[in-house]
Amino acid sequence: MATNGTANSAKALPKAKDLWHHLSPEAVARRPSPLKTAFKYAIDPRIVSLGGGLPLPAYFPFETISATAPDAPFTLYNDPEHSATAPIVEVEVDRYNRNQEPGMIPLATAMQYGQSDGCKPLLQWISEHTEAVHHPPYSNWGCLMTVGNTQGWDAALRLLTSRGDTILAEEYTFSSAMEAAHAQGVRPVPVKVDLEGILADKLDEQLTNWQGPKPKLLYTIPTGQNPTGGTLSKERRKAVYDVLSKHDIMIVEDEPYYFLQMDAYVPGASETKLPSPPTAEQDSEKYGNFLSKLITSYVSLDVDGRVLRLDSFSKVMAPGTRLGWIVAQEPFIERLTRQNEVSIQTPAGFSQAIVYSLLSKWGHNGYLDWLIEMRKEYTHRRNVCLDALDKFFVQPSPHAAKGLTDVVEWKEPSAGMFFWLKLDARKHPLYGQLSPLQLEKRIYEAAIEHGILFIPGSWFRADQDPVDETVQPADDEEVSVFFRGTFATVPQDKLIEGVKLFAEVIAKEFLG
Amino acid sequence: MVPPPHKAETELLDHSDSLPGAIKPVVPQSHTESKPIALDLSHHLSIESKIRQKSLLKVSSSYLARDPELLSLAAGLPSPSLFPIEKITASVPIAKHESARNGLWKDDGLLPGTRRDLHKEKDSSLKGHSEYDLSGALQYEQGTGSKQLLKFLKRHTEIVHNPPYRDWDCIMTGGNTHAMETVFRMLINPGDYIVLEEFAFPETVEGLKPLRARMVGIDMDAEGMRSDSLEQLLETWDEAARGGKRPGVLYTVPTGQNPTGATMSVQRRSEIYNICVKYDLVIIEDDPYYFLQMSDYIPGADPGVVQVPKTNDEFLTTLLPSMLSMDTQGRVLRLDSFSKVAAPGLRCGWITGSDGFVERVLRHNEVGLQFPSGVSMAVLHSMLTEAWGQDGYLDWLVNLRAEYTSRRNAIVSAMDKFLPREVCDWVIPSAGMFVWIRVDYTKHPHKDNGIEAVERELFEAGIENKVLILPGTWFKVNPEARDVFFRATFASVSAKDMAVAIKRFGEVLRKGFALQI
Repeated sequence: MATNGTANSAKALPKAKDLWHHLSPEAVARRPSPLKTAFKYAIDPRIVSLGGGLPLPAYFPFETISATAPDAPFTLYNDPEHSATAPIVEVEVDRYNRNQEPGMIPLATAMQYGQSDGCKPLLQWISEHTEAVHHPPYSNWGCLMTVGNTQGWDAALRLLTSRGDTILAEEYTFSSAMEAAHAQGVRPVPVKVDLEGILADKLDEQLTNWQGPKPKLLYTIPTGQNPTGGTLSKERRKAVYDVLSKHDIMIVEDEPYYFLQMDAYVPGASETKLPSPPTAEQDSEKYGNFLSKLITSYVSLDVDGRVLRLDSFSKVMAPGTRLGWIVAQEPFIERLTRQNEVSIQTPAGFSQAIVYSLLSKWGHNGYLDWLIEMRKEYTHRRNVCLDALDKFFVQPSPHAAKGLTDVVEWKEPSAGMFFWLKLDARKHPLYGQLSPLQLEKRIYEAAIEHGILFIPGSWFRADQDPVDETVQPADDEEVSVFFRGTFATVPQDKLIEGVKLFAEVIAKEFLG
Repeated sequence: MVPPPHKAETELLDHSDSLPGAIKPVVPQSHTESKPIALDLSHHLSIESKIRQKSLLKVSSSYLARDPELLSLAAGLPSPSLFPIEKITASVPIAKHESARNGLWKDDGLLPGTRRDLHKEKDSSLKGHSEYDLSGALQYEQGTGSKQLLKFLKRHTEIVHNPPYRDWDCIMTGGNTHAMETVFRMLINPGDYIVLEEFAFPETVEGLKPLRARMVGIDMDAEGMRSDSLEQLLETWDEAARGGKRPGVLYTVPTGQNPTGATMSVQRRSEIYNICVKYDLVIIEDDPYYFLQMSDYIPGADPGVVQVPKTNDEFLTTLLPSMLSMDTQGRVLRLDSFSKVAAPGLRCGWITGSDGFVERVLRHNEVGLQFPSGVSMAVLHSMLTEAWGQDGYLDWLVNLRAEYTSRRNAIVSAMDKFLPREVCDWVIPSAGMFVWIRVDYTKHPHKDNGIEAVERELFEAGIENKVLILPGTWFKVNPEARDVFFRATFASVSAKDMAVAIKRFGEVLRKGFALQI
């Protein structure tokens, strides 16, 4: 991590492969602005610069900005009301930081035109965090700030693809990401998945038999996938990586839910409070244990330097920070910096300054404490959801005397915000008269009629090409329709009520 | 995935039409009805822009809007209770119109007693304190940006520009560089021609080249882009010779242009607008320096003494009409920004244009920027709507105008004093941050080495003499340089340092041209 890191271990690692041939013509054509070259002169204190057109920081109408945040030990889970006794931390950022307070990016810097890869101190912090969590296995990796993963993905597409190209994506995926590709004239081709994620052997087969120019990249959400909630195991990630390395295809791993990984589900768990994690004094292994429980990311398997990892504060802090970052090999980071210079420039200074101050006050371990708390919170939400699924879909109930397990199947999510219900279309009384897509629509509308909104799975299909509805699958073929729900957003009672309402709809539709 | 808000999910937030902050048409109905409807200019959209579709997922939002009882497990929004920021406080100045005479600032900071602390809390709206609280600001937002802030910006746009057609709208951006990228991608296909001023901000040129746009720079005079040159170019456009159709887009910085500092007169603006009507060009009016318009420079006067408009109404009459304010057809996309009038780090601006174009920008925002930083929007919302109001914002701008006028006066008086007029000249800027110095290279001893070589020699001699002033060729759009120019800014350093820098540059010129010292 030559740009922003200092890890000694990095020295022993090899450099990334030269993958310049993957760049789009647009990305290759980017040049630095000559104005940036002028900055090197402005560093000489004897030079008076009438060069850069920077407004004077004295004219920024902001003297200070401060924020109040929770502090470790966090009590989010045990004290959701956030009572007056909960520890808090105050961060204040002033115009010039004349007192040289550590851990502050003064507004005169943060709110000025700046370096397009992000504010240096924050970038440094993020590099250290990335090294601690992912240890990318090559030496010349770097980070660049984005305004979140939606923009990070837009930047990755512009970096690697051109009109007419194809890309790979999970069969069901975040539809907005596919719409971004679509507008750029880039065609997504679905990759076969099971409830955990990508099937590496199918992927290999698909690429081996590929006709025409190979796809430019794989877009994947390996952890807590949107919409399926699936999380791919380490072994399967390794297999997918090897297939893509063999076929020389880039990987964009979109990982906003990475730190929303959960502990294993135990039925009935939502009834009992989760134990408080030990303090650092009680358990010196706490942080190591937390980190070791996290699933291996693609970037930590990336010996070639073919992974662009999209990371974000949206799910672990707040979407409104519009703050994320990309981890990739330096030649790509340099091209992305050029791209930032003529588009977003940088993320907002207030966001960078406040988040940096907060992270500095918390420290790396304090941030891990926060993430440990988030893990607990999401584990609990997921437990409530799975207990409700068990109660209303598995157990006998007034609406379904034998439960609904013949009809509905799901995999327990171990990360993210979503659960994905797989319905066996063949069990529906109107199967044969209505196509699976028509059945899906019927169930969706019946649910709305019944007062509950879930999103139909077909809306997330990577390829939105028209489906031939006249073709009926063979009798022995599995025919599924899917619905996505989230356990992240609504309070516990609403979540349980929502699952119950949906179970009633399914019972009525399938059992009559 | 991505910070997902799925558009889906962002759209699901759209209950805002029923909230107090929802945007209502700001113009009284009787007033708008006399205005024409924008022309359909959708034939100008690029392939990329035309293809963009409204997400299926948005359908869900219509159900939620219709039935507030509907329970949704659809949108993947993190719970605001998990946002680790409980409260934000910003300390901002409260500008008085009168303070423009005496100054609001002292020693790189605001005068004491001119500040006020503004707060945003997670649940301010529940307590009735604010229509836009921190829970909202830190959550996924629609691609338009905060409705409540947008409402202020629309009203501001109406007060200042009053677009003369009915169906205009505003949408927020990540500042004008981002807005520029957005409208370029919206209007330009690879190989298309675009018209610009012959000198431009390098990021504009570097943004366009990778899109394989072909740029034609139009001659400039003291008032910026020449309308006669523009008309001639379009009138005599030869598709075969040019290998492409006539340009459909004109990009201009009409006020305090970067790098030349030129400002178009009303007459010039009107001529350019009419030519664009005649030849069917969309106009990108990139106007970040609009409120850095100044009062006249009076030679010999104390630079610090500045004429200040007596009232905000008078202030508004001193402002040049924007092209947007002349636009009866909806062919202007106006880019406005907080970067020069508040701070660049806000990364916050807005586009004003016809509904049709604004809707395309919205579709683009949804899969790119999404929306500006919620922290920026929250602070701006507090400052503009809760502390300042429309009038208070104009008061702030009047103060800023006085500061920039006095800075402009300082650099121009230093130039009068220290630069050798026998080899250089300049137009006194009436807006913006820049002054553009033309140097007569034909009098330079090394003129035979060519324009660029003379310019480079002078630039390097400047560095040697400890003054950084930027060479004109860094800004040229056309391949050929036609004269030696230098750009100096009066925005960034103190009056004293400006005088030092200009004196040093004067020495460089005298030495380079072998003049009497």
